Amino acid sequence: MNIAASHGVAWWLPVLALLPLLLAPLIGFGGPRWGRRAGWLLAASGALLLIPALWVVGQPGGLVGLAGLGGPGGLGGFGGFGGLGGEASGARLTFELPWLLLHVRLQVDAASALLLLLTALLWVAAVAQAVVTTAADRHCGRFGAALAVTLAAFTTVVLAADLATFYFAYATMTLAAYPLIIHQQTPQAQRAGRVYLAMAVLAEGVLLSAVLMIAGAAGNPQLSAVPEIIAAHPFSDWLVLLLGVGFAVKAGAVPLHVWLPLAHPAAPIPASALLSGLLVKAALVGWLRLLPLGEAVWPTFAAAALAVAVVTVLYANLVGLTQRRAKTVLAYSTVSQMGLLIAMVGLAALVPAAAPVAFAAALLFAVHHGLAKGALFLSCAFAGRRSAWRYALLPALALAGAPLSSGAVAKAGLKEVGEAAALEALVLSLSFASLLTTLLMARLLWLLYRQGVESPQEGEQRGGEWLTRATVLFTVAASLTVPWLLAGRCCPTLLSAALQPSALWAAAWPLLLGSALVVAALFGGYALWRRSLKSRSGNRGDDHTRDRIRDYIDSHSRDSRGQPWTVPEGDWIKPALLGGVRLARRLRRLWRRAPPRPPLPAWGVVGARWSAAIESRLVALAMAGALFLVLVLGISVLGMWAGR
Amino acid sequence: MSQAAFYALVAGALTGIGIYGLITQRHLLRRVLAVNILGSSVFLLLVALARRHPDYVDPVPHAMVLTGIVIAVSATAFALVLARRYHAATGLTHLPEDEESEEALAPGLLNRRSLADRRSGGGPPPGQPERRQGARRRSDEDRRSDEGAQ
Amino acid sequence: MSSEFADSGLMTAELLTASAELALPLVFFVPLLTALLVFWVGSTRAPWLPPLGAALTVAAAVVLIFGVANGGPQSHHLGGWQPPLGIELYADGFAAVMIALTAVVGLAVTLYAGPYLRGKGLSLEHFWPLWLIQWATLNGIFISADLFNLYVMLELLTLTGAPLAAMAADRAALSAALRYMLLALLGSLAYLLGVALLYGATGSLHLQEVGALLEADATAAIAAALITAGLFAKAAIFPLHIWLMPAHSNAPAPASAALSALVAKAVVYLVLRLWLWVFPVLLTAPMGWLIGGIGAVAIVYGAVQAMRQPRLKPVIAYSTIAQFGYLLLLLPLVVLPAAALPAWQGAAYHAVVHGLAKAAAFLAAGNMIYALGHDRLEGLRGLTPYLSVSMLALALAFASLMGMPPTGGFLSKWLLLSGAIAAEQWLWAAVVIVGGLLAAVYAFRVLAYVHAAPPSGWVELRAPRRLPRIMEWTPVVLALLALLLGVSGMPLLQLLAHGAPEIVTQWAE
Repeated sequence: MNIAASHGVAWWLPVLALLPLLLAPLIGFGGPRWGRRAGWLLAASGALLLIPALWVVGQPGGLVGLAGLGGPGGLGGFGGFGGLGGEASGARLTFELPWLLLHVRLQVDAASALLLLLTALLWVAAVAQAVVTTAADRHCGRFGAALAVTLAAFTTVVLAADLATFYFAYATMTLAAYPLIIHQQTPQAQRAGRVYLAMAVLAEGVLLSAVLMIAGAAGNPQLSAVPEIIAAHPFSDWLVLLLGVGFAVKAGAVPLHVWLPLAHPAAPIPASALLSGLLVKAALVGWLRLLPLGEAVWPTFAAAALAVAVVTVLYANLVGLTQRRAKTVLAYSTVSQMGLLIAMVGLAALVPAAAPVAFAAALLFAVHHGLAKGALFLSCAFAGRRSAWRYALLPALALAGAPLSSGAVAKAGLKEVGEAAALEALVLSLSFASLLTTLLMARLLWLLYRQGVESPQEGEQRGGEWLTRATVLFTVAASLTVPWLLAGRCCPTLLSAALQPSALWAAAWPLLLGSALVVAALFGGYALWRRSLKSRSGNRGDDHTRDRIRDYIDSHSRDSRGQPWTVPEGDWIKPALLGGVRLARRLRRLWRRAPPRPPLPAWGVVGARWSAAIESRLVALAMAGALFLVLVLGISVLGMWAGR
Repeated sequence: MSQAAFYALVAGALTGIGIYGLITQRHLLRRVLAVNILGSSVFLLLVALARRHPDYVDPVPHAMVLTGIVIAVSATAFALVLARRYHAATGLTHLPEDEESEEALAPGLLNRRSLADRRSGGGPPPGQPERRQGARRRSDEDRRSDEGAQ
Repeated sequence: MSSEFADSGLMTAELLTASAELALPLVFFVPLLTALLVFWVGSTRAPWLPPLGAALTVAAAVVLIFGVANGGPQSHHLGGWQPPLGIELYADGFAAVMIALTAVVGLAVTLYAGPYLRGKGLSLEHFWPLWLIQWATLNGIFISADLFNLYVMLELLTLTGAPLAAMAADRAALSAALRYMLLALLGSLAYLLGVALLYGATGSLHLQEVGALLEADATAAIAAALITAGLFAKAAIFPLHIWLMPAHSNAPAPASAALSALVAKAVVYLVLRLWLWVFPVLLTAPMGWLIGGIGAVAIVYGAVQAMRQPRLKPVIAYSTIAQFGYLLLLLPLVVLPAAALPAWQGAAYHAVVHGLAKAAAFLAAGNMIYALGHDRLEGLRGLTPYLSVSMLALALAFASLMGMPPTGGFLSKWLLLSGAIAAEQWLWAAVVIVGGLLAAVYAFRVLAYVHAAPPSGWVELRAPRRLPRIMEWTPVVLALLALLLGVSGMPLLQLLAHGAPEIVTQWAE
């Protein structure tokens, strides 16, 4: 039901999507002066998203619809999200633009309200930081314009209520992110951009085929009707598979995650914050809106999704531990956290009754992760300072799910789903994921600390220093508080459940165990070093301790050729590409060695010669007359056949 | 056979002659004439149609024929002017591609007579000597690129 | 909204509807009378006359389109004479859409032609009457409800199109115009023959009456064959396309824009109108396959020919031949219940978008010819800085022609494609996709030349000629309109829904 279809707030919806698009050319071509002003305007316009988001959140029962997202379902019994109704409840804003595209319909329901909230906060912080930090960049206009288009497209993805608008915005977002990735134009960024573009375009192709199949069955349907259309479609299994795979690339599901660890470190910091905090969530929106998960059981898809989720969480965390750059570690952390969201999708496919709860929990988790990851990325602006790790500490703890942190609430939601679906294994594996995340976050803090110690860049920042700090602190504060407020607003029972002593302990032990492991590893390393030192020379000098620890670690972490031993960023893609190049080279060599062949004319030459020959025969009027007669004959014969 | 049916049969025969002439004749004047024969055949058919009913004459086809004749006259006039301008500019009496692609056409469509026709009728006018001969052999492609665009 | 406003809105709507019937003859007679006036007074003495006539025509077209949008199909009996002797004018959604296209492109051509022809030293005295009569004829084709009236319009189209193509009066232009003239005469006489047969079979010339009375017998089949083949010859549908490339590429740029975007398009419009309104009884699946197959071959063939052209205008002209193929794909799809509506919308939409993009491309090519004196692709290297605005227009137009989102070309192909997929016609779906890819090949070939760095040792012998401001911006505006149609398609589709053919609407219930 539309509680407020004609409410005045609904007018904001198209404005939200159009304003950045109007600002984009101004930023791009406005030059340093006007471009910068437009940049500030862009940052401020992010706050406008709060209007519809807070309106929906503020309505009595505004977030009630949260549990009814995946479709109808009676969910009375589920603790944290208990007492939530089905499709009929929840406040919505809708707005229609019948003349635009194929009848654009925009809508804010509970799910979009949560994501809009996340978008607004990250948008303001990241764009503000971008305006400050890229001021000296010669190509800052280009960057800002791409940022504006990307944000407009993501907002539209969240707001879209019909299939064509959703797909159009999704494709625009994917393409608009490309200039963000290659912005620094280093070879590394170029490579990341190429990998991103190739994978994104393939995924777009997969999605487009699914979208076309749906459109073939139902034209341009409301998004809320799409799950039923898919469920009733004769190729529903294929559609679910196509949608699952198509969005999995954006979500970074292993093994399709390789663009993420390449792209996020290559992009400038504000862009990576948006990529990691927002853009990957578009996949969640896609799954949430399109997949028919509340409708029936999809055993194959569920099994695949759960398997991918487990592999993603484990693999990304472990590979992330081997990385040597803070932003790469963060990218792998994003992959692993998206694995948890994929697990929610798989669970919803396995237990249709749990689908609404699963999506509600996934949304809450997405808000938490987006804010925390955004804060972590933005605090990388201080990389190269001793204080950098202090900014990152609190969001890192939250991401690891420390008790009383926002992560604990979000993870309590996930556990709720595990209990609802009667999957005790999920609860346990969530704790294990927390443990791994703790280790990964420890690695991140260590890297930030070491970079601050080893290659200090004090004084690098000049004007706008306080602004950068303000954006980081703003995001950190938001990441710590907003999930709490949201949880308090939409599911107070979840909040109290998260504050139970048992829940506190459940959240605490993976963290404690992880910290213990880290400490043990540090002490163990130290002890090993001491022993080796003792056995070598007996020198006990403490003044060069740090250098020696580093030398020791370095000497034990190099391969036979003296290269540092790491997993390359984007793990399998580099060996795969290298292997492909080598294979091609070898094949070419084989081809050259083969016995001599008669030379083949180039295809283009042959085609051009043939087409020229045909055209020169057709060009005579006599030939045209003959063909005219043939045409008359053909059509009249067929026409007479029709009359028979 | 009624009068109308006879007219219709003659119209059909004229249509055939017109289209045959348009296809096989290369001389531009003959082609314009062929188009005129085709037009006459249509008018004949329309006149025959007007007399289908034994007791009255249908005026609509007559109106059509009158309008059609006006249009045919103006179209013929314009085609003739174009042909004259073309002849003045090139010294040719047939379209450029007909020369090059005649070997490629089915031999049945092209008999000796029409070739001979072209040779006898296709010479340059007396005022213009053979200076176009060399240019005529150049391929169409070259000519287009030489003359550039508008 | 207060009731006062609502009332005045209602009154405005009524007024528009009432004046729309009046505007129906005006869209034909205003440009015609202007043309005669210009011919009489002379455009050197009254240079303001052609733009004034164009503006009045556009105003009449706007009134008519609003009338159709608000009040449904409009009809008008000239001089109060009833058919069969009187002439009925009739405008439904399809006609209104094409009149809108003609108004936009016509205005652009009118604005562009003055500076271009003056700059190239061509005669405006001849151009204006020809072009204005052609505009009148185009509108006449869209609003005629009478088969014989359509014949008159078709002949007028040839009689104005061939002189425009021959304006340069050199050997290539004259032979192109002659070829066009002869084939078009053959085509229109075949059309007239078909009309005579139809009149003999039904005793009527009115489009909808003939459609209702016609039975699927041998006479109808031969009439349909003659009419279709005749119109194919006039519309340059493969394999009768040979006159199009030389005629369109040798005409002056504004004339080529009008010829390609409007004149040939109007004839294809007629093909569709006759098959959907007059010959639905003959439109069986095999017939659809034959005509759709011709369209499919045209798409591939035109694109392949466009790929090997050494000059820009021939590339654009061959692309016209390829793009007309999409319009013919409507006929095999419209007989299938699932595909009828999207295919109909897609084809009509394609007609409009292609018109805008093609006019933009030809005018942009005209800018290059104006600035450089030639349009050889090899010679366009390193040109971008000089003609960046025209390049933008060319790139946008090509993007629309190949159907890149979010251009209008994408929307029309999406509609055709979704229709083909809905009816599980995989062959036609594949043709649409392959056509887009082939178009991408020739488009990128041109754009690569245009954006390539100049060859080493390149010396500018003669600086490019400066473009008048209006010539620089006209193609961009047209290309942006094609882009806008990709973003906002609903108004046009709603306009199109007024008086849609029965063969499309019968499945809607």
